[in-house]
Amino acid sequence: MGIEEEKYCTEYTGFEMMLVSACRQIKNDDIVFNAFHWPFLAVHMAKLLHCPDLFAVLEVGQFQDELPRPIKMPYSISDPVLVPNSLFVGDSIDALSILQRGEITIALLSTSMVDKYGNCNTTVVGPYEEPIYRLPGGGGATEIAGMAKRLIWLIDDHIKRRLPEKLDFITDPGYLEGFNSRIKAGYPPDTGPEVIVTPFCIMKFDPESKEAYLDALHPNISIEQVKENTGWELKIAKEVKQIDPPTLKEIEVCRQTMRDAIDQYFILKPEWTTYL
Amino acid sequence: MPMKEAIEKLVHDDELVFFGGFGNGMTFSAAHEIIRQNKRNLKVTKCGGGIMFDQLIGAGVTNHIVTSHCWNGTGPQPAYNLRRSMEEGIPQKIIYNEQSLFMINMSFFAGYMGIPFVPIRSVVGTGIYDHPKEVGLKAARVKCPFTGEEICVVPAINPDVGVIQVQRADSEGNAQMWGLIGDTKYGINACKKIIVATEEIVDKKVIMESPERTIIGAHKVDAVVHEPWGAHPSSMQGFYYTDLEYRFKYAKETKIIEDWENWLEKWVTGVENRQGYLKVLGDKKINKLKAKPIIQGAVNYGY
Repeated sequence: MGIEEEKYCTEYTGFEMMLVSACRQIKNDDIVFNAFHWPFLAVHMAKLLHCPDLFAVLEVGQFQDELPRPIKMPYSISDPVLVPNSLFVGDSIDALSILQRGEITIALLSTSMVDKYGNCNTTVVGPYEEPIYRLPGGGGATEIAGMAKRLIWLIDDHIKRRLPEKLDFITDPGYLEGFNSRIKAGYPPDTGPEVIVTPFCIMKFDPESKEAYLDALHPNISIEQVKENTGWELKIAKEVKQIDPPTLKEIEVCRQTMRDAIDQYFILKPEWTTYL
Repeated sequence: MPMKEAIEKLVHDDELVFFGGFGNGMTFSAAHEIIRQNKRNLKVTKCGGGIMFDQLIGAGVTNHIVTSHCWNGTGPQPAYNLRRSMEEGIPQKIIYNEQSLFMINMSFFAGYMGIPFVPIRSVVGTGIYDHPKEVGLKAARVKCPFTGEEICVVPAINPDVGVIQVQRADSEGNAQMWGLIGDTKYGINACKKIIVATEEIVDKKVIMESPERTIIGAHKVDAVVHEPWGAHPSSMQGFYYTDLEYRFKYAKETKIIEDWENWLEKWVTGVENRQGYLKVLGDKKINKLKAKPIIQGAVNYGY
């Protein structure tokens, strides 16, 4: 942050805090895998805030380091606006190979459910053969979770159902059964989930057991609140950090990005958009 | 030839059908004709099924989808026919042959290359690796003969028939696509029978002016269909933008079975062909979606 003291926003929603917190994870020299749908917003914000040079790769095969001008939020990874504004356009194998070669330094993924080892389920709720709720399937997230160096999970609602101890189905690999099971399954050792960002907090992963623990709180959220709404017996860091609220600049960019997303038919819940 | 004739001649019950287009250039016109012809027990494949597979499921023409994702990307919102099928068996319970995006792309790539399998680093340890049980072995781990490393391999997919929607092709079937290709080039070249639907039919000379845009050659193509707007409601680079409003409303209009039946009648079974569909869509919407030209990138091919 600058030499001048930052001016912070005092009124914002948990969803906005999640986006800002996720956006702060991205560095200007990162090579980011830009995935649908909340990561789209966080990456877009990073580009406008502290990452003007950010290099982004998208699943259909686009590599780019500039936003379309005039600024337009792509409605999805397959928006044609992404073509004349790219450095390279190939096919999906190009995009997924840059990931497999280990060149993607960070990836963000928003998802429905993440367990304590950072595995994700976007396939099915209930038994596989007789689903209570059928979900879309993994798409490219299976590879992104498998091969990005730093993986950031975004969960837009911090409730037990979204953060269960164990999943009905593993669509995207986190640390699988914990400890060294991810490496045994053949994933590169320098990859895997680094943080889970929710409207309440940031969780990180124990270096040995690979279990997620509470690392830092968003403002005005208590440790108890996080524990009560997490689906497993959540471990707590020795010193829980406090995350700064959004700065005025961050919140301005965040809200504009949310408005741009709504224009492209993204569905945002009313409680997320109170201040738009 | 007309789409009706191409589908009659080349797509048969029980076959594995590939559909091109990853979000952009999706072959909706072909999918709708398949529904009108009431094909049965098709296995269908593409990297992301989207609302096109949702329609094929709802209409009962497929009982087996091979894809990595099937949802309505606008919103995003559920694919309600997929959910009805898998949760309630309406109109029938389908097999969802779970893939990851890389897995299915590399399976098409192996098919394209004419080899039996290719290695990839993902999917081990996930449910995708071995679900559903009915489809048997669809990924395995082998020891690399050169390094001794354990690596995952996925099999070639060679569909019986494939259909793509491209920007332009000549009358023989030399077909060009630019912009967002996704899995289209490798997928279609892996197919045994091929239908090319195109926004424009051009002279062969136009194809030869930028041959690197050609994704499939005439020697493999069985039918060329001149089908403007065949990819609506997806986009076609240089021709039209995605119809987000239509796709957004699709979720609401198909959430309950009665509404889905009305939707199907309005847009698919109640029209004769793509021209009929475009009449329902209306000129106002068509003009709104038309792409504003961005002409760029002329290069020197001199030697």
